[in-house]
Amino acid sequence: MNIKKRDSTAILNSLSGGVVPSRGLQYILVGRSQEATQIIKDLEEVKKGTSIIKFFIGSFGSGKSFIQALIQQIGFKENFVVTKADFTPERRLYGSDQKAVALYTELMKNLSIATVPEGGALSTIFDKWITDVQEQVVQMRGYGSVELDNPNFIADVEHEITRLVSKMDVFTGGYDFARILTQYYQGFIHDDSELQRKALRWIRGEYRTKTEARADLGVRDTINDDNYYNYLKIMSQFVRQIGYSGLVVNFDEAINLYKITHPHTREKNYESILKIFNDTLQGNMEGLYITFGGTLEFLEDERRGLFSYGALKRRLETNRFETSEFRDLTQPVIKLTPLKHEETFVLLQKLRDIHAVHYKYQSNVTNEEIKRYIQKEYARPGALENLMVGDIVRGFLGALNILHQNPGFDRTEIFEEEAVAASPANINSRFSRLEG
Amino acid sequence: MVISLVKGQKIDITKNKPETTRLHIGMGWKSQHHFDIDVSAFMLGEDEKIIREEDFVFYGQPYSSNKSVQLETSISSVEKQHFLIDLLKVPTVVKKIAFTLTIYESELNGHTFEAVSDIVLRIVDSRKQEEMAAFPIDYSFTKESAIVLGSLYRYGDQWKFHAVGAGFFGGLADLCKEYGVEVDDQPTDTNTQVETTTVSSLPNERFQVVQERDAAVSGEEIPKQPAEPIHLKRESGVQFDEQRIETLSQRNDDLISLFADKDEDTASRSTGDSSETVHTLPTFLDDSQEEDYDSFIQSLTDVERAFLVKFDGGSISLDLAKSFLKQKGLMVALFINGINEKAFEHLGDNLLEVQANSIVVFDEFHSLVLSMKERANHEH
Amino acid sequence: MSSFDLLSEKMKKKIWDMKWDRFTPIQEKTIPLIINTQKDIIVSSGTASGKTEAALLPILSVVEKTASSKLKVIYISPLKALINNQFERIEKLCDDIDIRIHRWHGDVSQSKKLAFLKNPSGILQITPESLESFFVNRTNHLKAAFKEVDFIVIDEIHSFFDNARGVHLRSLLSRLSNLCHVPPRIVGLSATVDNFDLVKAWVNYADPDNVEVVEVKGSDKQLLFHLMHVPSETSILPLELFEDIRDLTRHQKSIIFCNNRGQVEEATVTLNRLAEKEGMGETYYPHHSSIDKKEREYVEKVMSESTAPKSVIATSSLELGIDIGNIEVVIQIDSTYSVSSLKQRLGRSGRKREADQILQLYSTDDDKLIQSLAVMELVIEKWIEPSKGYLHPFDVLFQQILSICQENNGISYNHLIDRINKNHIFHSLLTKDVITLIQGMIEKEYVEVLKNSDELIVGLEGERILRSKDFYSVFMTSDEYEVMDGAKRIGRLDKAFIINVGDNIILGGRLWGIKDIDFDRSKVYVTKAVSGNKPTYTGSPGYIHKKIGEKMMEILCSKNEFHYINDIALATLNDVRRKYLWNGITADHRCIWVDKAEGIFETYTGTTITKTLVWMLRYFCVDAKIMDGVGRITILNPEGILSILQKMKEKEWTAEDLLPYVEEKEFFTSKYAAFIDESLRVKMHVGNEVDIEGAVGYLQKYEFKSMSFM
Repeated sequence: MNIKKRDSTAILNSLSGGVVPSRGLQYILVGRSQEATQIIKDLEEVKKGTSIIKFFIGSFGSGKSFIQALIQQIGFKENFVVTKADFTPERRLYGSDQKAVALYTELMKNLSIATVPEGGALSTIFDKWITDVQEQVVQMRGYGSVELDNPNFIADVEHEITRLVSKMDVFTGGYDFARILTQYYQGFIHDDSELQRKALRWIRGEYRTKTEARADLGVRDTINDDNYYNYLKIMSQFVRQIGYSGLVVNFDEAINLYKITHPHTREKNYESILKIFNDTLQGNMEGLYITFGGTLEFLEDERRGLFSYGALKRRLETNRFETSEFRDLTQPVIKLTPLKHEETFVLLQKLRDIHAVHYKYQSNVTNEEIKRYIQKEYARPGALENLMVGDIVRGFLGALNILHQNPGFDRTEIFEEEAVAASPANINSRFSRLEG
Repeated sequence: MVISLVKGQKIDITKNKPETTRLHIGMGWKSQHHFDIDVSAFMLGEDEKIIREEDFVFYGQPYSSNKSVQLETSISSVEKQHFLIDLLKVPTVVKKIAFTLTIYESELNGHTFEAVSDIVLRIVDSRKQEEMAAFPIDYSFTKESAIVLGSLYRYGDQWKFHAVGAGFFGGLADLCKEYGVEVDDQPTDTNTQVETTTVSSLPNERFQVVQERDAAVSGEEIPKQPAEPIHLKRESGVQFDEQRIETLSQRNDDLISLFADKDEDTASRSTGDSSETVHTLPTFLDDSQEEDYDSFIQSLTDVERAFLVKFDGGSISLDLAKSFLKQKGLMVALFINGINEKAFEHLGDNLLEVQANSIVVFDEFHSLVLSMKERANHEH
Repeated sequence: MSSFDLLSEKMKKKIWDMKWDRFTPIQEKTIPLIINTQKDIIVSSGTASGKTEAALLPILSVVEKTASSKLKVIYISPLKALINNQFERIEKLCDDIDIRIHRWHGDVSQSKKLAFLKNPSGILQITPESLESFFVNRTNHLKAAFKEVDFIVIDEIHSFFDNARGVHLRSLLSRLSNLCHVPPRIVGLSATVDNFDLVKAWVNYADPDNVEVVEVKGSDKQLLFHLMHVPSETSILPLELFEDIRDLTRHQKSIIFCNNRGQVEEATVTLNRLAEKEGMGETYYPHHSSIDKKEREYVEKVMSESTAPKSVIATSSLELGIDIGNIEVVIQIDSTYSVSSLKQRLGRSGRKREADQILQLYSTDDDKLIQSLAVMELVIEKWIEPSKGYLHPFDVLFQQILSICQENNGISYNHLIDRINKNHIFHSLLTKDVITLIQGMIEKEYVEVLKNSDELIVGLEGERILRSKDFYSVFMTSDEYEVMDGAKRIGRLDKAFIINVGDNIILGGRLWGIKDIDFDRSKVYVTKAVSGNKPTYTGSPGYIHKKIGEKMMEILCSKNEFHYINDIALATLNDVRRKYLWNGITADHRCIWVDKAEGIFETYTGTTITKTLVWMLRYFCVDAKIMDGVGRITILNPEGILSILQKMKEKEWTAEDLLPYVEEKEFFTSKYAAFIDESLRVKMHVGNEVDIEGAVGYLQKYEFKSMSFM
């Protein structure tokens, strides 16, 4: 078993705390290898220029968040810009009173790249890009080096910025976007970090009034509920222009759209999903991988779920010929079937190994003991209704910790050995070796 | 010509009358003095529900949001209260305006419309001051405590009126429920499926009981299941399909190696075959990475190398870093990012992390930076 | 010992798994009877009372040990769709014990059928027609498959007592019984029935006392009614009616019953239009026997799975319990012809624990108003039509003789007669009549006597009938076109409904234009259209029981008000009553309303009696014929009618007196009736269409008045 220390640390710490690790996911996504392979394939395609939309549907505790974390991990590996946002009562795809632009702002705040994995990568992206543009101008125009005090040079760079933006296939907003980039560059040249901050704020959709925007940055418009989608498209183009593979957007908690009480608003939100769906399929955008995480009701409830919106229902109905053996993972909806006992077993097996590697010891927890542990967990009252794989994992890691730190601990308490598989002597002898 | 309406009748209001844009809808009745009768208007959307709270016009809120509907007390003796409707101002999303009479606190005081007579609704073109239609209720009610007298509704781009004259038993509260007016400000969203029994019962008011339930007879009780012993028997519910486990394990290993392959550094890193069992020696990947360390160092610029050498014990203060870089005309964030990008490429991970007051090297690369430092010293 | 203790260990565990805490009363009573006795059982209770489990839990307990390797239970159901519904339910009961359930009907694949034949075991779900097919086509497998059968469960058994199909089924079961080691027990699941004597005899003619009836009357549901009168001048239903239906069904799931298929189509289109205006998608779905099966299955699926308020519009096609989810209100446009039918339909609502049974009835003209009131009142009085059986079933015997010859690959004459005498349903036929039948069959070459023997085999003409693909059913289907939209089957149109290329029709709730008619292949090709006319299908008018007629008269002559009817209904009722009240007519009278040379005799009695009266009148040279479905007879030149009625009352009638006066179209007819000897056909007519005793009783009971019409 080969694993990086940073991965094992992330796995053990996160899972013990009940959260999704941000790396090392390939070790713990048991039973999801088909989905993972499909995602890798999909991202390859997106790199080449297509756009893909996916719906990951599963119940609470089925691992939607793990899949989205895996997408981020692969995305980083493949040089994508990755961002995410959860839907909340205040963040939607369509709304008035700024609920839609709030979603966009969240996405912009969460922009991440491999080297800046925790969000807030927007400035790094811009800085990197400016450096590249400057280099290009130096090359193309035969300047000796970057000449920040040469007005010709500056003009050339600005010219280049505008040219690059116009090359992007955007219908509206391009003009303002170019202008903002120019303003950012100005801030860079004159060491005016305030101006740069303003430009970033604008890109993040944080300007509320046109007057302010005009005063601060000289642009006539702001990013708002009605046009944020355009800017999202612009950003996806932009990152590709500047050398990234594309933009990955992970939306989660789609149940909050289901919960919208006004049918009209809810429908408008679903209409937005349809718009995104059509844009990806019709090739109106390049290099965008966008996912929605939601529950089965969110998808299939005919009165309030996506299926209540006829056009979406038709497009999202799953392949009739699918069975649990032969799945069609190329379709937009991927249903995450709940994990069964075998998955749990293999997962705990892996965790046992990772724990041993991480703490540099040789584990003596047998496969049989792991199985009994699982059986014991399910035998507890209320297990069938309430027990989640996450709980079992946390408990198991805790048990491993105890066993590791206290070699004399009575194992039967954890693994309840009834029919003793191996003779007691063997087990104890292993113990004594370690103690020595 | 005044049309006298009968229950159920529907008439045109604005058809062929483009100048009719303001209406006066008056309601009158005769009752005991102590009867507290309220007049209300509900402005309903496509789904027969209120769109906003402001669309419910009653004594506590006598105008709709844009004053398209206003409630006033009447001067005439025929009517007690009336609504002024400006049809042009009614929002387009409002498809119907229902006019109702309700008895205040009818559950408490037991008053019903049985004791109310001469109920009438009049429709007047308030611009021309011409009465257009009247709907006198010439039948009686019994125990009803709410009446929907009639509704103005859109029909294409015209308005029509429907003389409803239907009574209900639940008073204003029931009408509010029917029309989606939140009476206690609690949002009604739940995660569970909406059962169709929790739906408006108003159309079902008409049904009469013709047969009561028969006395409940139930069958024999089924004895409780004896508790299963806690000990897990061979046939406990959790079974493991060995073959499946095998498959899952294999697939997971494949996935891991797929990821490993994608990591250039780690492809050649196998210490033995990939199907390792628990009891072989665990390995960490940092152990034998000489080649990649070298290629990483090679990829660095002089400035970057010089910068890294400045690290002491795996970290450098932010101020120091800034001043060093400023001299070279470089920005900190971008510079660090550049190093990290190279590290990501050659070493499979970021090298540096920017913290509050310092920049630190990740643990597993301490040795790398240390060796760089030694080499530099050596060169001097 | 409690019912629970009587069950096997595995069944007990199953009950715990299903988390039941009580049995229903019917279950509690049925379980001991099945386990502790050898009786045949009729389980009779209201809908959704757990009858299926009441029968299966004890049966499975009994056959558990052997059913994994032998066929032990045959489960007969009148509809394939019902079999499919029940299949899952029964499967669940069986999943921990090693008992297989096999389905056998027209839609089951050959491979599944072959698999069953190779290894017959467990439970077989089958329809009567498929059972017939088994006898005719799988003759070699009969004994091997059926010899160990212990139980025959018949679902919706009440639907078999009064018709040819029931005779057919009983005969098949009788023949099947002969193949078994031990005659299997019959367990019938029934809705509430009257006249249990007839039922017991049907189940076991030799020993009716061995048949135990388990009954749980009464229900835990409240019954709510409303009747709305929506008069219309024409046969087109008024828009107001549909608008009201829309109001009722906007937020509620419902089933809307129409009395004919054309009306179903009309209603579907109109209601969907109303829904569309409100921005709703498809909300109303049509369901009747002339809509293609796949479409019907789709509708059943949508209804049973949807939580949105959708409604299905159907004819009696949905009267029997196919699963269509939780219905909140049952809507009926114009009355049914029988009380049992209305009760059955009413039972489709209120399936959930606390829900009530709610019925909205609409009447569209005066007669229908009175008829509706009569039927509803009888439901309230808990009256139901008694079973009357299907008399002199020579038509079914004809078909069975062909089947028996085929089954036995030839059978001796005497042996055949013996079989028939011992057959559970044919035993009551006079041997001489049976002989007449067989002789007739020989003459017409339906059967053939082998030379130099007395062995009968299927004759040349008989073979043609046997080989035809609808040999297996004994009920008539009318001649129909198959309607195709490209390659997709939509449904069928009656050939009696005149159509031309270019006409527009409604079918399956959608509008179609007719592009091409292929008369030879009986196919009609259509494409989508924007308007259409409702199709007409020939259907036989309903027969009403005399109680309904009497009730109608009672209502007309009284002043009762009904609290569940709307104002217009009340006003119309009082209107219609006026002429009876003013003329002092009571329910003991019957009137003939005379207007110049024509009289209208309002018999207000059962249809059979009315028909008999017509023939009696004709005997006395009165020009009489039936006018409508509520028993009115038109009489030309009605002077002296009262004295004629007197003569009718006094005469000693025989059936032969009436026969000359029966017009061809009034004669009894059924699918196989045309093939049998004329004399036997007459016997069938007399048995099923004529009621001399009833007519004379009628004449004696009432005082007749001749009234002039103003």
